Amino acid sequence: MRKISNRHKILLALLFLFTNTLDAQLYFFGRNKVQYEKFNWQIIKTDHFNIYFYDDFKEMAEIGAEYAEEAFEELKVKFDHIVTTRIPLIFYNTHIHFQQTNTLPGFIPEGVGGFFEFIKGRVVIPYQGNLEQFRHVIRHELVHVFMTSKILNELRDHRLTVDRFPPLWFVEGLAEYWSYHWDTQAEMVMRDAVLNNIFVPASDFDRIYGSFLMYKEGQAFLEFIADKYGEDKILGLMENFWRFNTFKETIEFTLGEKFEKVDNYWVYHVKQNYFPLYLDKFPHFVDSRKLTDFGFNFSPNFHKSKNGNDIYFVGNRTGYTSIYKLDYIKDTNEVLSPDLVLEGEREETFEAFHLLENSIDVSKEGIIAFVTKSGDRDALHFYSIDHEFVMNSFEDDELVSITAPRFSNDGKFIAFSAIDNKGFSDLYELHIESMKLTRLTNDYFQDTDPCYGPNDEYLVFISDRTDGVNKQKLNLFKFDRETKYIEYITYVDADFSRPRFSPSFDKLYFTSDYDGTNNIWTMDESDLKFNSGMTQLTHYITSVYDFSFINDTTMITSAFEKFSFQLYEIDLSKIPDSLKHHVEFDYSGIGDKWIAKEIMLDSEDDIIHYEKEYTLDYAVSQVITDPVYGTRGGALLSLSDLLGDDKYYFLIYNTAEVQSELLRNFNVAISRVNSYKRTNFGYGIFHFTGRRYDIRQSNEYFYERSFGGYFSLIYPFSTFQRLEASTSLANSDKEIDFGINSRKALLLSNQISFVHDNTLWMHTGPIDGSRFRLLFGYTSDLKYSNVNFYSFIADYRQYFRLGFRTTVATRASVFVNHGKEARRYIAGGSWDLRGWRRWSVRGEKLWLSSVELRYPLIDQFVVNFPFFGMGFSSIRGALYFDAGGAWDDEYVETLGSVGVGVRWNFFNVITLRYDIGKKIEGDFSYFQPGLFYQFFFGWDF
Amino acid sequence: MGFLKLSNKILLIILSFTLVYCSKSILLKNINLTQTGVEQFGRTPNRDFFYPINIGDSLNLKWRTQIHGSFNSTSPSIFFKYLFVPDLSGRIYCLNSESGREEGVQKDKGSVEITPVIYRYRIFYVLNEYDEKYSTLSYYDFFTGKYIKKLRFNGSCSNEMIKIDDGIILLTDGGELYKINNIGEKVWSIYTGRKTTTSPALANGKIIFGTNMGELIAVDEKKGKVIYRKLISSGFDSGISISDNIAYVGDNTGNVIAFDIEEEKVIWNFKTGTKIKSTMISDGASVYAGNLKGDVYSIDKINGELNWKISTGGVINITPIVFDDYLVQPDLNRNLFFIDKLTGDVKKKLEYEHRVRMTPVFHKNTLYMGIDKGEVLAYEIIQSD
Repeated sequence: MRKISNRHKILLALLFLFTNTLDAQLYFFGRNKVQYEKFNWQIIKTDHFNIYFYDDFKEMAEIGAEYAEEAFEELKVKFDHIVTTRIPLIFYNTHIHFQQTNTLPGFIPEGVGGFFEFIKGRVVIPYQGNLEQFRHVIRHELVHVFMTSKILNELRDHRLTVDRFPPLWFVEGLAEYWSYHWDTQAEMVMRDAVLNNIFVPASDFDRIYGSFLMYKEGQAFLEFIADKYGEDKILGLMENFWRFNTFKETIEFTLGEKFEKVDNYWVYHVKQNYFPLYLDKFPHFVDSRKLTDFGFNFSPNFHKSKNGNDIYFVGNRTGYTSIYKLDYIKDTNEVLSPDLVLEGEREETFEAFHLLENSIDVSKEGIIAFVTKSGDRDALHFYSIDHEFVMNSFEDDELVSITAPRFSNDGKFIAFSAIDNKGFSDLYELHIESMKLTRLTNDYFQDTDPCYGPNDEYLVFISDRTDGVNKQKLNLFKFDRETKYIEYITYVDADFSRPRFSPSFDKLYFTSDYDGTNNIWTMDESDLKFNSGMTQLTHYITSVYDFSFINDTTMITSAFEKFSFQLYEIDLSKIPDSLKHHVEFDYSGIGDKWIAKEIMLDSEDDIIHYEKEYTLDYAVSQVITDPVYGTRGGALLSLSDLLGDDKYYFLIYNTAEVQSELLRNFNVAISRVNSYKRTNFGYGIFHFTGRRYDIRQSNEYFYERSFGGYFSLIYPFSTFQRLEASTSLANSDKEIDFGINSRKALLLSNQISFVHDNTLWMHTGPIDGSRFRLLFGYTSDLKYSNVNFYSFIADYRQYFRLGFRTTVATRASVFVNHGKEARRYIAGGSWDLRGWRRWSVRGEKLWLSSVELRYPLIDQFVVNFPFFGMGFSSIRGALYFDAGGAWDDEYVETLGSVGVGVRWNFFNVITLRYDIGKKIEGDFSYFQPGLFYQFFFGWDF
Repeated sequence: MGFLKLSNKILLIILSFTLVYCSKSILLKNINLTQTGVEQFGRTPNRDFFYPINIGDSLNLKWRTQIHGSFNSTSPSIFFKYLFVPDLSGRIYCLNSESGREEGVQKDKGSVEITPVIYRYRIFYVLNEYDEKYSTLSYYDFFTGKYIKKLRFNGSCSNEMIKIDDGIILLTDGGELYKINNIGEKVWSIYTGRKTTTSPALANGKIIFGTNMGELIAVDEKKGKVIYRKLISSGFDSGISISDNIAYVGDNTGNVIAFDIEEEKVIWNFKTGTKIKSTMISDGASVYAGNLKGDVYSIDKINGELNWKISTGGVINITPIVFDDYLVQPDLNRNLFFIDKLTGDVKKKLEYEHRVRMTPVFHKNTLYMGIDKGEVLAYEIIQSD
């Protein structure tokens, strides 16, 4: 989990907003969302949408616009509602570009297919090479748009506060139910959940909150309601939403039945549906050997070498997706631990593996071809198994995403699928030695999973160019390398993937969802000419995602079971003929080549260039009163353009304690932050005034008024490293003793920092990787020479992983301010020197060091009271040692502490911390008598 | 900020509460009982939305006022010089029909989704109660300012009431049918066993309504007994109107069905292809229907053949009204269309900032309608010859 992701941009904004960073230790690490591209945005205006697209994506955008209008017409009927404002729909041509969007502040994981965000009502969708999937995602997100509009209107129409929303299972379940049919993936997930006791009844949907299972169970539950109680009840749930405070009551009222009864009916219905599968379908562990039992393991590739037999695969077993190697030892029941071959997600070259995709192949010569995100696009790397290094890498300016690499039999070529700047997903072939690239197909049909035939004369591949009655199904096709002719191999109402020839090339194997989930099918190679049909070999309950051959009869599969992906070895010769099911192909349904319908525009004026449209993001105000300082208040407003590239912040507050101070104590700051290009910059002006706490003298305050401006830059070298620079000029008037002792200065502050962060986070803080910051700065008083100091910060943190959830975290930090009126740093408290009073350790120079063992303490406990229950999960423990010291001119003493602690992540909002221990006092010579107890909040360092 | 004295703050708070919460109840003393109005949805028990006059397409906005909540797809009722407007925040507003001035308001916690029925000095209205699984039929005397009776029933009610000579007919969403007399007492009730969101109509002593299961049910208005049930569709969600013994209703798949309530059979069935929620209306020659796709149809009343069709691009879920010259069709997509009922040409389109929500009511040369955010508008019609 990456807690820092969402905080990154917010803290970045605060960095830009508030100056005087040199006297504050408030800085952050975090990864970088790099804007590699300068998108040249245009807008297609349709009846109900503004479709935003860029560069060469126009054709796909026009198709997407047609999908959107089609969905709008359907959804207005389903919802009995119309969205009267124009909906902004933002398209990216690939997921890689989508990850650069500024419409959301945080990072977007690979599994996110699109989103609808509430502040500006934007729908943001990446195109991923397949038009059917594109249509599905557009419809899914538009269901969110309509549902949100409907619910908000229902509440407003009834003059109720808009402070509640249906539960997430309903929101996502409805989006799936009303956008698409029940598909193979949904079926696979539900089968696995029900038959492996992962399934939860509707009353327990909270337990699977936010998971993909929740999406599918929500969808299934709504389908059940529609079947049993009537389709109109789905709309009824939304139209009755205003009436009750809980959604459970809304369900009961709408269906006319107690919720528990509805839930019981549903659970019964689900079990009735899935339990009979055991009659003629099998779990993956039946008649197979399990090779892995942990993590997510994909794309197995067998390689036989003089050193042994190994299975190479892509897996996520630590939190970082990497390439692993597993010794293949026949006839052992022991599950071996794989070795790490190449670790990903720690540096730019291997920034991200595409875990769920076909992204690796191994040649007979012992070269691993694998795909990673590398900067602004995917790269295809070639790794030598014998020499254990990456020999070469391939990238192309026209190709953004790459998948499904496949070596030719002679090892000279490699074929793969790639998405270009137009969004077309096509086949390519690379001559490995010369790196010459040849494009094999060029159209908007999705072409993928290429596989060379016996003599490399042809390629078998998957494509949605299927037309006629099975239009857009992913069937198998054959591409003649010489004539370039494409012909059908299969023609059925099913989706296919992963064509592979057996080692002897007598049979072609592939997966197909013909029977409801992805199983392995085969056809004779000779039949490819005659297209006679295919034969089902396996009858697994859940999907086989990929497979590789050990020999003609032994296969390694990557299969989905119990919500993980594990490797299995199966013996094809043991499959009885009685289980082999043959399906003939009927080509009579083939029609004319299908054409994707594009939106009809009235004129070219319907396509315009994007000009920034600013709207309010949020406005927050607060008034507080206390008996000592009186009443004060303020407001913060944020504006940004529709694409989120340009933001303005306005802060105003007043700290007057008496009426006469009102005008003097207005604090104002106006900032602009621009993240359109790779270099993010910000600038602003400010006027801050009020009492400041003097950390030199405890319990003393001084009054300061400062005004000026600043300019900041952030340049990310990669996701993991960046350079920060800022300069500020501020006039500072300080009253140290009121009316008696004052200090004026015109302060020029400059600083430059280098930041690195490739950490992996768990529930309460980092658990792997490293992060550090190196900062240099200089502050001087240009006018009065009252202030003149330099700053240096070196903060290094390394995390040594001991187990999946256990780590030793280390920190070594030095903070130096040296010169005239150098500001003090502060330490003490739960965040650094535990046991010592918070912020009681002060000095112009400060050093800190910590070693902490972080481990899982309590996975879950539940307390059930008579009327309600509470559950707590992922409570973590810590065993720590801290040391540090602070001084101005002469070193005073070394402080330290040892102890144990407990941390609990409270709903991903805050981490609560409790520490017990002993301070090391007397310049590190003795422990304190007794113990200290300290409670606070905050992430682990 | 400290500059506001405490006493000033308190005064401000008290004034705010006063303004918000102290509106007066409906209490009307000067009533002329000889004057008729539009005292129920569709004016008559058989739901007659036809006004046999030419209105032209020239309108003057007479007044515009705002009430608290928004509206369901219903209509206001009019009696004497008062407009009674139900809203979704649980209120019945009494507005002066000439000026739009608020004369009084009844407040409850819930929503009033159907047209209040006026009987002399009294008003029947249904409140769907907030945070309760029941609703309440209230019978209020606006001359004395007292409630006569309240009847609680399970579930909600989105079906329009029928005003008859000796009381009202109420059909709940749960399929319970009530006859209530003019002193607010239940005369009879039956449970039909079917959920229904079809506003009923009454003709020849028969109460006709459709169910979610696609049945058309006829109930004897005097005896409270089911006369017949006919399964003729997959499900109904639109209101019924009856003209010359023919009931017209739209169903969930977009069929407009003409059903002879005496012969008990379907006369014709016209397919529009998309769900119909608004009530069919007739002017004696044609039947007018609109569906959720935004299409509006004129269908020959006798043979069920299409006269014309237009596509508005919006959502038609509100019942229109029809005159000798124009069909006045509200569209949820913020429009009010004046359609030439002979040719289907859109002669005038009024566009609003918010969604149009109510079936218009025409009375004394004025067209009353409601749009989102609780806006009630009155247009004076400049009639063509």
